[in-house]
Amino acid sequence: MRLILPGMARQPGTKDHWHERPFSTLGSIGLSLVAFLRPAWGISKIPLRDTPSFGMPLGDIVGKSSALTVVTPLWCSWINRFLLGLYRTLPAQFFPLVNLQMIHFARWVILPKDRWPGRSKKFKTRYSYLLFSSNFNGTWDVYLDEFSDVISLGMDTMWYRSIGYPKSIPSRPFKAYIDDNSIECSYYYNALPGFSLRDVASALKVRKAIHFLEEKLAEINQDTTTSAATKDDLFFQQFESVVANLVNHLPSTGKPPLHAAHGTRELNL
Amino acid sequence: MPSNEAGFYQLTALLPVKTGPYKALSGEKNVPQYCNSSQSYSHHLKDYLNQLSDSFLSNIDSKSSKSGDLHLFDHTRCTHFARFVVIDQLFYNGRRRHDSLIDFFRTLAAGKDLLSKKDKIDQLESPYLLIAIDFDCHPSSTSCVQDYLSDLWPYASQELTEILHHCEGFYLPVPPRGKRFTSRTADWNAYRTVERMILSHEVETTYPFSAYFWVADKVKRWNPSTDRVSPSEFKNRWGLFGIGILPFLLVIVSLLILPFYLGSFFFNWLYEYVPPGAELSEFYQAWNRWGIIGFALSVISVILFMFAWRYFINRANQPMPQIKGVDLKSISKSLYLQGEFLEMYKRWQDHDGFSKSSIRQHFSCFLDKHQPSDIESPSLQPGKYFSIRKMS
Amino acid sequence: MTTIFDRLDIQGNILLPYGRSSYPIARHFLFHVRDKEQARAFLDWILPQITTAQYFPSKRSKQMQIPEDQLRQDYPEVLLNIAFTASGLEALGVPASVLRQFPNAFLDGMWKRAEMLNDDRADWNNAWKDQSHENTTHILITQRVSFNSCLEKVCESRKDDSFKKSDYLCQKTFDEARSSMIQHLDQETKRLLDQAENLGLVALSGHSNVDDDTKWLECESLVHTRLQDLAIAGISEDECLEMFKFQKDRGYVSSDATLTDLRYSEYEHFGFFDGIGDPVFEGQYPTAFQAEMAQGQGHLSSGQWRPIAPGEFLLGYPNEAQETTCHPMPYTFSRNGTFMAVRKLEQNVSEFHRTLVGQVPLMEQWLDNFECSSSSGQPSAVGNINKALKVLRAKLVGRWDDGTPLVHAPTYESWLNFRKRLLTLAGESRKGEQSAKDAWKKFKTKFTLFTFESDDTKGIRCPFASHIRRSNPRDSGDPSLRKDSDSSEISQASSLLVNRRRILRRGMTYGPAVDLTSENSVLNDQNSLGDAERGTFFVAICSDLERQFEFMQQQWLNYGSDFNLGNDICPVAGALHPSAASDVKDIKVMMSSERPDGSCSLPFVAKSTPRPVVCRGGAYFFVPSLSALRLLAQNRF
Repeated sequence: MRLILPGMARQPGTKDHWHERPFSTLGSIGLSLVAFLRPAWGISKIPLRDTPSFGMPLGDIVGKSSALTVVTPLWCSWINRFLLGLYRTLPAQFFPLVNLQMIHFARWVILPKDRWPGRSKKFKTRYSYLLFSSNFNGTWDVYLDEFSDVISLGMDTMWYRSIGYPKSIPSRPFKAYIDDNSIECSYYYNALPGFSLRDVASALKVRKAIHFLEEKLAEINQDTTTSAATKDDLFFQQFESVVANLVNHLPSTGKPPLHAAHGTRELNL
Repeated sequence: MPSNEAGFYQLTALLPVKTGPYKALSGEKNVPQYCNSSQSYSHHLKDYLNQLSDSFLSNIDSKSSKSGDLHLFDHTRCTHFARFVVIDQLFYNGRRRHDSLIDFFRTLAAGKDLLSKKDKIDQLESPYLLIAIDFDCHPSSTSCVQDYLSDLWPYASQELTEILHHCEGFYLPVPPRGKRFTSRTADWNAYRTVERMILSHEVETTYPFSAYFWVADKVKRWNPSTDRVSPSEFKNRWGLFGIGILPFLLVIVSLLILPFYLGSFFFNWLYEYVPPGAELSEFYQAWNRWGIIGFALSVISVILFMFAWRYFINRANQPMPQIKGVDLKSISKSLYLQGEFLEMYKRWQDHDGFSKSSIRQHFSCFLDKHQPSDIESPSLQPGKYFSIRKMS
Repeated sequence: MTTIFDRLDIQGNILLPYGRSSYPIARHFLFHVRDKEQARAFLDWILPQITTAQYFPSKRSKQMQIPEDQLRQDYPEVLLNIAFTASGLEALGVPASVLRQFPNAFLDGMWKRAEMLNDDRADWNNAWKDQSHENTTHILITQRVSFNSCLEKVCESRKDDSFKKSDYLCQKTFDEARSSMIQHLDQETKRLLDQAENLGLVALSGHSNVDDDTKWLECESLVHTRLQDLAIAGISEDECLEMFKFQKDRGYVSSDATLTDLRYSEYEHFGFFDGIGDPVFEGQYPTAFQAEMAQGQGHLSSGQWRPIAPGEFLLGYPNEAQETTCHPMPYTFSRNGTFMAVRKLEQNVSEFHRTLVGQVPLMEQWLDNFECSSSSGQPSAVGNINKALKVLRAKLVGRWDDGTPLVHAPTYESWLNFRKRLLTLAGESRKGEQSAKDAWKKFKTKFTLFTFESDDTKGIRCPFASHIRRSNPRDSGDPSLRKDSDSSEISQASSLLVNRRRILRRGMTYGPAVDLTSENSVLNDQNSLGDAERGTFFVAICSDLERQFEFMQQQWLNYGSDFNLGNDICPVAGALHPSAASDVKDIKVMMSSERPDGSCSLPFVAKSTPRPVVCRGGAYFFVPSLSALRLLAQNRF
């Protein structure tokens, strides 16, 4: 019994991907309900005993940043759209991700199964797909370890309903899943190859401090009544109070540490 | 539009790649030697992109910022990250695993082994080219991509034309027989085609995340002289969260009541066939009442859900505001200042031994020399490890 | 959940380090296997001699209340441990199907991954190079003999000297006991080498610090005199004498003690007390004792320290990622085994010291300007120089020379007080009163029990750049804290980022000691000391070389981004990439200090030498269990 509920048919020709049909058939409501109530349904993966070599192709690493592109099949993508919406209402849930200071930019893009760009309406895949792309610092291994150590629940809800997703704890099957579903970049551009996100965050603080001192200096210099020595003294006080807080924000620059594959490839850099 | 959030535009475009053997773009003057008709479009595209990547990496260590050393994205100084990925096929994650008990009963019911039915595997009709670029854009602008492409065009016209030539739907207008376009018209045509291709294949970024925004938010709240941080104004929006989650729960509840409705439907049918004398009415009426409530509730909740869904998704996806000073130009300048500030401090420490009297002098010189408010110059050149950008 | 190990199946140095004063000399032999049949016979011969993790009967085992049946009958005279490289396992005939299950880092070996660790391969000793098939390192055997039994014999023969473990000894007794120990060790060495030669094993040479023909690298704990230990805080000789007199008067030391008395110390060549913090994991100690040991050394979450999961250090057990650590099949072959990274690190002691001494005047100025310490009892000029040097050294390491953490004693003055209390409590407890002993025990936990995020969020006391904060950041930078605007949450910081990056350190020093008591001594004695090679034979035990050892070396010691330090390397144990090393004259270390009002001072940009340590070679080893050794010896795969 396939019932099309009124008001749910998608208007043809709209480019708007926001208003995804929540569901098309009554049957899928029931199914997704079951899915909702049983999140761990049939997705357990046997922990791998051997140690497959996970990692990143070198082309995905430019300077201190790496590009990760993952495309995973999704079942009932509207649930994920809903969850991503929920996350947008809860920015504080993402503070641990922000505190990690590893990711410059990341994005999650839902690709509905019946709206492949440049394809006719008739072309439909069995599943919708979730595209995840991120620009992160540090090694692939650390990145995924920290996904499973620090923001495991966040990751699990972002990939909720991904087919075969083993959840982010334990980390080995999780890494294997990400590895199985990621694609290497053919071209990757990074505008700040010599700097990590932490360097950028520090630099913004330093800039604020410099502007602050610039203002104070102007104020002090404007005062014509004080002697040069007093001005020096006044400025020193300001300088001291500000720069004392910058001790952990003056990193040195340099090239990124080598990737594990570099060593075994005997690359001379 | 969450693609355009907090002053950053996260462009995602998926373009189907042509199938069949590669044919060079007509009118292209210098066709590379390696390209012959035995390469597929996808193969050729990857090769082309890899070489583009090599040309970027070969100059990444250069200390100068001469325009000859600049890569295409280096020129505009507003592209943070860009990637081109050729997605040949969708990944098959193995046969879908169901609960074994459900499989068991399905097998019993069907009378044959479920494994005899092959799992359906998703296939794309052609490979896709994924373009993902993070660039600076004003949040109120509605023509971010157009503006960005026209900024980029003078430096990347050849490359973009060549890349998009691999994608389905790319065709350049053909000049009338016996005539040729002027180079200006040809360029304009190519630009229009590239713009049309990217805009028509753009996919909306569902959930953008930019750390610069959060970092800048924290720096904004930071007081440099006391080192205290005031609370963030971005807090969990529990009200909106409730609007999102409550109708959803209502739908679940109404679905649980739905069986009563179906039950009353059944009794209704039964009522017509019962022999007279059987006293069912009381029971039936009780059922019927519940059934009607259940039905009404499910209809209402589904309708409510439809509205709430739209409202919620719209509200939740409202872009975050922009925080000033995290565009690429400002960040490059900050990184430049950071390095120079440390140098100044070290000089003061090593030569003047923390002398109180000389720091004002040092800092004034620093300001004169490095112009903290001028984001153009001197600054770091994007796309290079450490190259100082100076305008004479 | 209590893990109970089969301690008879695990090699001895994994679970607990051997005492640095009870087994002060270790000889490391590298062997190359020529013939697998003969090599198996050799394994068969050595198997019963391998030291297991069974508890030794000692003061410690009494403290831990180990039941009699779990103790060794005797205190072992000779300790023998064995480990294999990947090519070693291959040479012994382990099938490729088994080897392929081992992790990449181990299979590659350290030689191939040297570049990633910022080693310059040109610096490596030939013995470690994995180039020719003729003399590749296959097996590492480490031999130690007991010092205490030799000492006991010497004391018995002399009758006038009473035998007491781990105490200072008069020079004569010490020398006699040491030469008797070396004699014993020589016999054992000969026995081992003879047997190896008979069974076709080639003992490799070239990894020694002495000459190119010696077939072992000899590591010996550094010997300290009583005076050296007393003067560690940089105090003058008069003050030392005064302190010594005080100790004698109080009866903390025996009346016949002299300042020239010797003992094996825990110091390393740069002059820092070493080997204080080592992770504590489930099953390592008896349950009751374990909880106590885990304070400051385990896994911290919601303010509670508990032991780390055993799978971080042994194969086949659950680990901190809540899964079972990789265990190649056959299970018996990998279970209870682990991996070991071994590195011979030469320490550029004189250069390191010279760089620091060069900055002392500036450091003094910094301290004068910003520390604004109460000027009561202004120390002498010499004292001031010492103070500046000691502060500089402490800020680089994160601990004062004697191991006192900066978190507990942030200023030089507070360190002196801390030390005074330490010596008093130690002296009192030596007199044997139970309450004094408890007080001493409690005080000692301060060396390991501290946190960074909650005690020193901004690194004012212990700089982010310092060695101990880098190699074990504890709760520093815990990302799970959600509120950045109020500090109430900080006390709940956990060691989330660190739990899976810990290593067990089992290193020892090699080469002759340098006397650093006076900052000029190195400069004066430079000629005599210049030639001798000295350093640390670094040994790290962990179950995942890549995730634990390599990560720590590469990301935390040779790079500093995780601590907001960009490319700054660890001033004590880091290394720049060889390609960058030539451009860099010195490396910067950012430090600040706490002013009397608790606020932060202006930073001091210190410099350290770009090559404090130079790797002279190393390898990755698999440390098999006793059952795995049997499988190897009998070729049962």
